[in-house]
Amino acid sequence: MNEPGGMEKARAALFGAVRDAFADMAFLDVAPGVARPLSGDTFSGAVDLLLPPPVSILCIFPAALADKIADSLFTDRKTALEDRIDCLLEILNVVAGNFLTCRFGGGYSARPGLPRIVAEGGGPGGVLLAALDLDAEGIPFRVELRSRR
Amino acid sequence: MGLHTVLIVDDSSTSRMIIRRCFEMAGYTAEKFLFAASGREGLETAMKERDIGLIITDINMPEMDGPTFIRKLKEERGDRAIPVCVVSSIGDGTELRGLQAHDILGVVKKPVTPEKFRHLLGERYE
Repeated sequence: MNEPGGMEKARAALFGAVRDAFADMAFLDVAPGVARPLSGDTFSGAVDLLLPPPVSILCIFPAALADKIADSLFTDRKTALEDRIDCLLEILNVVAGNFLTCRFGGGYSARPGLPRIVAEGGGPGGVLLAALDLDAEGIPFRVELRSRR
Repeated sequence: MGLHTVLIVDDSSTSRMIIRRCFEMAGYTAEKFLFAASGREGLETAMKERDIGLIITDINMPEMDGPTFIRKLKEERGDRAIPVCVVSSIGDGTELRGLQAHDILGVVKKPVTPEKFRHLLGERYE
């Protein structure tokens, strides 16, 4: 990511990774949004990528989006909080894989870490490399790429 | 030919549910599905259950990851090997290519779809 234009490529790859994961898993259209405070309860999840430099992807979802994703995946029963958390972590896992594929193609040796929920204000830290304010069919959410160095 | 038992190994309950749904939507049948949340649990189940005809396993899991699970399974079962299909959020990479040495059926990149199972498994388990 240190080559000329590397951050722009990373940004584009991150957007594509999120858009495809949401479309393929939850049948939700994701488009660029505008930066605005997320209202109500939020869930934050992070996944580490062992790249040079090591980075983390952080996703911050309003509870309404978590509900919408879980409802589209678990069509046969009412979902519990643990289902919604598990859905978010699995989407994050797919986002990480898509990002690696979009950005580096085949042949890379890095494997994403295990996605995890992070406490509010207790994210992966590091330096903010890129932030995407996005909109999933009317619900705003945010995705960040952070360097862990 | 339907299967007696399919073992799905993935730490995500969401992913286990999607894998089963897509497997069935692809036109394959099994009398029973078993589930494990790690390679360790998957190995215990595979050693205990006699009629597993197919294992579908994730790569990235706590306790015991997919490559270790596949390697240990082959060591433990020897020539009574069970066909293994790998699902992974990464579709390529040196680690996945290394798994080919363990005679896996192939890799389905997450998100799993019925079409991806059809492409990999063909008419084998209809």
